[in-house]
Amino acid sequence: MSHHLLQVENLGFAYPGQAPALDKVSFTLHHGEAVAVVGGNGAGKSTLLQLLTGFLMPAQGQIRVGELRVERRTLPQLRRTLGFVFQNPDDQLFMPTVYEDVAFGPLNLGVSPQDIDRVVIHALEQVGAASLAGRAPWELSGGQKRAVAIAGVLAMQPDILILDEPSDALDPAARRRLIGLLQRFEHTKLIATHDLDLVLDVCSRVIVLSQGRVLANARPLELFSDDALLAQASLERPLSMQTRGSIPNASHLRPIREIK
Amino acid sequence: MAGLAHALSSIRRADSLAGRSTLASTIDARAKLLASLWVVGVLASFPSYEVASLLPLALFPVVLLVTGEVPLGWLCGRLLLALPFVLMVGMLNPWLDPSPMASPWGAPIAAGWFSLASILLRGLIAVSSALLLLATTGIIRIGYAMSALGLPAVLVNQVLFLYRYLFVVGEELARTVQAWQLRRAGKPRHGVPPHQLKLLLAAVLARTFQRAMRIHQAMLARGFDGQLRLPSAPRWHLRDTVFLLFWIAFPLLARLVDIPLTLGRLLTGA
Ligand SMILES: Nc1ncnc2c1ncn2[C@@H]1O[C@H](COP(=O)(O)OP(=O)(O)OP(=O)(O)O)[C@@H](O)[C@H]1O
Ligand SMILES: [Mg+2]
Repeated sequence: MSHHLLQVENLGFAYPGQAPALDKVSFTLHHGEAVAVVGGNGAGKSTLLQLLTGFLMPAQGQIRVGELRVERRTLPQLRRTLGFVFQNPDDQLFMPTVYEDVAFGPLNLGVSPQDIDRVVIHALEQVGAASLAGRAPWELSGGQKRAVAIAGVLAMQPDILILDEPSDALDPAARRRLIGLLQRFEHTKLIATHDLDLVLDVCSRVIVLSQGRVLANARPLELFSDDALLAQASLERPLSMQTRGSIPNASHLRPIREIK
Repeated sequence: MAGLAHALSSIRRADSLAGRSTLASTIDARAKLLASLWVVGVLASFPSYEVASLLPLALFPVVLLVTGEVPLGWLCGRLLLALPFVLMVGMLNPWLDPSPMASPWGAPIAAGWFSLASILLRGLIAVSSALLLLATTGIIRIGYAMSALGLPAVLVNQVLFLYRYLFVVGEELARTVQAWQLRRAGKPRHGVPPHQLKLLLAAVLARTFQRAMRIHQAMLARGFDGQLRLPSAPRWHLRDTVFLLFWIAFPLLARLVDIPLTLGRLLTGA
């Protein structure tokens, strides 16, 4: 087995009748690494993930997962290795109950009905959602849906977890829990996101895409102090690394109930 | 448009209702599916002017309603939605078929009124049976039962996807129309002008298509190969056999013997 878990070489792709969405993209992912893919709107992040998971086929270059090339022929095998969490959990949740939804993937992979209970409960416990097992997915809150969607993918025990905008539409507390969750997973992770604070907390490396090209591939702290590069990629420093104007003197602020 | 979103989500509630454990939900999905089809089939085989003799078949939805502990309000609400469609089928009959026919209260009326009443009754029994099957079984188990009964997976998946996409279309439609209403910025016009309607529908279609694609991709990503699998395969019990046999025999009896008439004769000793 190679020590590169995911290897992307010279990848190129264009939607029909458009400028290339990805152009000569190359990078590798090692075992256990957590890597972020960042870039402004339209930079090509979602397109890249679609190529990795075989929903789109590259025009140039190749992708290897372990020893397997991403091709039509290898897709069934790859689906066991790559766990893809969709941007919108509503697109992913399908079954009438959370339990059955989490069981959907492992049953398709051939986990036997005797073992399924253990697998499902374990996956739900990992995301702290065991109490939701009997609920209907569409009745859950955004954060709960996300947790269940992630459990559905974890239950398939993938080697690589691929997440598209995982903190999208989460409130601060749910986002915090998600970050804690991602930090605890030992999976190799590839996360496409606009949430640079999440990157700072979870990822050890960042790939910056801009107009379909890799602009940088560096450690988060190095990258986020390079303002020129950030601007070029339509990004800003994470909030936690931004310096603010001085906070108004607290004595000017009266308790709310006094203001009438 | 909030109305449409609401209507869809209340149909979707059927799946939550089906998740509870009730007497009706413990009956095997295959038994319930076959019984429902049989009842509807027998219903369709009655001559077109029959009204009173159809009534015993209403026992089937009533039994599902009670043993499934389905809220009556839910059923009535959904039936109201279906009523216009049923009415549309038979609305013109009293005029198309004016030949006089003896009515229970003596004076002859147009035969079309009988066929209209008959269509209405059949429609209500059939639709409520279908709704209650859904509310006591859930779409996934119905799909599973269909494939267990030997229907090809392609067909079963069509049913499941259609059901799923129904909600997708509804959600996208509701969202698009809401966005349009907000941007209309308080102009007091009701309805959508035709040229905008076209754009609106195109937007809904495009978004529905994209979402449908993503839903399908998400299933493929989780190893879906066209065959539906359930965590616990349903088992056939004696009670399922009894249920099915009863609901095959009873509609047959109702079809062959006019039960209300016979009962009436027995009671009045005529
Ligand atoms: N289905 C499609 N058909 C045609 N062009 C597309 C399609 N999807 C994306 N594109 C184009 O490809 C380019 C890359 O889009 P992509 O969705 O990969 O960007 P992204 O980095 O995910 O952006 P965002 O942050 O907004 O999600 C964009 O110019 C976009 O307009
Ligand atoms: Mg995207």
